[in-house]
Amino acid sequence: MRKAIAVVLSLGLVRGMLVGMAGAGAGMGVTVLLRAALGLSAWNPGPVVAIGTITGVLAYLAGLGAFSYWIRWALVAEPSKEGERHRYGWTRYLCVDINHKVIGIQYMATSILVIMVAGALALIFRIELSTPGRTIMGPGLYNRFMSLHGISMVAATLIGVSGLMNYLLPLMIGARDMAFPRLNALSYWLIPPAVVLLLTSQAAGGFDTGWTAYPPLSIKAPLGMQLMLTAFYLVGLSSILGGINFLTTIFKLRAPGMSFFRMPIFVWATLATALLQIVFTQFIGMVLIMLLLERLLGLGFFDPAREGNVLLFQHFFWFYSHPAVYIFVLPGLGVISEIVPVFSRKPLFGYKAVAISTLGIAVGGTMVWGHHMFAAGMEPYLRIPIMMTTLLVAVPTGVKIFSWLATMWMGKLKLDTPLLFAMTSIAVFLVGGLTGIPLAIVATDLDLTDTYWVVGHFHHTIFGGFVFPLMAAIYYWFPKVTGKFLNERLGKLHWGIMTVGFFTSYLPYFWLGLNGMRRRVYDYDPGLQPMHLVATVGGFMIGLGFLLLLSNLLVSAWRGARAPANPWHAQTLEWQVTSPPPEDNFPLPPQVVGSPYSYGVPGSVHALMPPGGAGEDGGKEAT
Amino acid sequence: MSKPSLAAKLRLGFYVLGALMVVEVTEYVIGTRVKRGAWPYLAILTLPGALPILYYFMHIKQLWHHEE
Amino acid sequence: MAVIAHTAHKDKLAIHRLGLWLFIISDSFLFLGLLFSRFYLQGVRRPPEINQPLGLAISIVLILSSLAAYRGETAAAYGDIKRFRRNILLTLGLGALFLVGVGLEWSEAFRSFPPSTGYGTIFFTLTGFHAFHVVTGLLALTVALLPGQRARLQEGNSWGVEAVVKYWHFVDVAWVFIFPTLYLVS
Ligand code: HEM
Ligand SMILES: [Cu+2]
Repeated sequence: MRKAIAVVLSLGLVRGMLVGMAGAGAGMGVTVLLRAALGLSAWNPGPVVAIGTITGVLAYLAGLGAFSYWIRWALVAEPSKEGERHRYGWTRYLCVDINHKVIGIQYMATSILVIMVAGALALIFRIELSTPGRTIMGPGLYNRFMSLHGISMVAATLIGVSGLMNYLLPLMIGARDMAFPRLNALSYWLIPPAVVLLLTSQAAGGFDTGWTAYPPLSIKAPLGMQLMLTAFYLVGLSSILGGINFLTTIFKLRAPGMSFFRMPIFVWATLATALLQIVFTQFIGMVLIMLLLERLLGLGFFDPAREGNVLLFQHFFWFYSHPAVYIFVLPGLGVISEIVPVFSRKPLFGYKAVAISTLGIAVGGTMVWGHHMFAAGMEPYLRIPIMMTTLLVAVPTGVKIFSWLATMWMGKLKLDTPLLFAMTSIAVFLVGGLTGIPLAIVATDLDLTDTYWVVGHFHHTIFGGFVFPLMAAIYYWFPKVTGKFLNERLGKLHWGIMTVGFFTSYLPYFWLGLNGMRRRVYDYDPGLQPMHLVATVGGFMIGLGFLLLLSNLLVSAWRGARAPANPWHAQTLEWQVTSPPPEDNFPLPPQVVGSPYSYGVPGSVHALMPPGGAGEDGGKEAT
Repeated sequence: MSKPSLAAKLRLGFYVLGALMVVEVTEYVIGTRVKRGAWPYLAILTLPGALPILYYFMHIKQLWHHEE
Repeated sequence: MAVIAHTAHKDKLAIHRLGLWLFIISDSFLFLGLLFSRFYLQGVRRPPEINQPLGLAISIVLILSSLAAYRGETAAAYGDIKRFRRNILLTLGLGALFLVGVGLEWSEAFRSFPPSTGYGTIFFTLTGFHAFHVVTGLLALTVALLPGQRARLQEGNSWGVEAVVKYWHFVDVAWVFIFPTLYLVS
């Protein structure tokens, strides 16, 4: 018993949360006393909680040990790395650990957890939508659930892509770790308080603005809004720090011989994603602080009575949030580009074009934010240019789709679960892209905006660009991460249910949107009910799919079949080390000598591995 | 190229300071004397205000010159 | 098995430098957004009450502090530890003086255009964000004076000094844009 308590207290997460709560309490207490001393009303929840949040998060990070190394660095010449490395077993996942593989898994687990919670919320309000009028909740609660679902899913996606990139990037470029392992740990550990804040926001009145938090609604919303804004800010901060780390790693830590055009497409995707992260996240961070300043200190950014303008918020919000959708999907599209050639046994079609198109999407995607504001009273002269740029971004996206199709064309397709999920991703993403065209065209958007057409469109892009690729990635890399296979039969069942469920759920959204179903309302015309009912059934099928995934993960981690180092006969570097990879990935650096995707080319290799490793043939294709 | 002496480098700092002061005071004179439409001149002047700091103090060349 | 270090000391320096530059580049977009907000909401309007001479004075103080920081960094790179300490202390002093100047500004501004007004919103936010950077810069400079960095300097490793000084210069560059934007445009 004593021992169990000692173990629990030795976990960074537990210590951090305890110290953090104490810190938050202390911060709030001091603020209350100060306010009383200054003759203000002692309890004003806004500022008191704001100070408590800041002190709480700082105390939590300190209690966790996220700053320990830096403090030692300030005080002694050669700070000891005590407690940072070589802690084995499950406890390392709940402590500050600087190994990128551990951090990657921490991100992934957090992301899946948040997806589950936000998905459960979605199912609850899908039940509400299954009949017109009140079914199980009133409009207020509906709006709160819908808003929490939206922002939590956005956060989960940001967390999930960080996880994928963290685990895979160093392995794929032949590095031993990220450029800044401690910064990497800090980036992850900013996430748990954000999740806690999102959840506690519901105890503080929640927020009903949707995930977009537009003023003036978000100025008037209850205290929960403030917690959501700080949570969003923390996720953003984590994203910026992560981006800096990814870029430095790509630029400085590639293995000898890995020129830019020998990098796997996933690495290109990480490069583009990280660029967007470090540039655009700053704008959302700024505008969230502006909201907080207006709420807490009465500044007038968005208040027309004081020369403010709500469009300022919308511009900045979408100036981040449109590029953010590329942060969501580019890594997922990279995953598809990794999986398709391996299971088609053919080189990736048009490698260079795909690599460049990845950057092209990122760069082009910076000029299109205004398509979210066609109906918002945005400066009229921006409309046509933004419509043109938006349609242009479809070109590099199309390049990717054609590359996948051409790679599969006449390939020796091996229909394992990873490829099945990749194919679903392509189909879903294609529908998402095509349904975006009428939203890019001003004339049609004015009619479709704020309807279920939009809801259908973005769920297609996000499922096609993130959720389904995530599933593909899990089935593809699980053997690498754990050294065990996922159950293939269960996997195929999971794939079937989720694919059918997805289309059952989301194709009706387009019909609903065209027939006048507005987004973000709990009530509708009874004529729309049949389609809503179908959508709800489909939603539950997606939920069932997730449960199957969970059970597969648990069962296979426990007693899955042992996986060799390179079960799919892939050429990229992560498959040339043991499964699971060694603590330091590559004790000796590999020598990269060719393309990462020359599948089916007899005798081709991507890299020469130093002797003594697991995959000494470097994934050489049979001659 | 041999490494410049410490004294030379410290002297360089004063030259940069001189240039920045000139820019700053010019900006100020424009900002106080020109009653309307001063902003284009000021916008242009931010460049000589920022570039010397970026180049001589922050060594921005590091971004594309890797040796040293 | 022999484990060789993938990265030598020189490469490490290049890595650290790139990371810091990326941070600075990223942070500069924050200031870009703030400057944009100023023009979006207020155009080039400027209230007559703004104290232009004080603005010039604190600008000069900040530039002087940048010079001191430069001298400190250069001295550190050349192993002249005494000169390094003197100049970094001077930088700290000038930075604190700058903050005092901002404080004077604020107390004046509170009377003529408080934060709840249109221009006050912009003025207090821009100077506030900048002052926050100054405060973090001062903290960072202090860290460069602590025993850890002193010991590393003796071994010829001046990266810690270079990093904080670079950040300090960046804070100065940001002010080069903020000063005319708030005090001078018309
Ligand atoms: C079981 C799976 C899901 C179901 C059944 C579902 C259902 C819904 C529905 C019906 C809405 C519209 C609510 C309304 O406008 O009244 C919605 C909104 C939204 N969903 Fe989902 N969703 C699911 C998964 C996801 C995923 C995986 C993501 C992102 C990664 C996501 C992100 C969003 C966002 C951002 C909104 C917008 C919220 C707003 O209007 O502010 N959803 N979801
Ligand atoms: Cu968009």
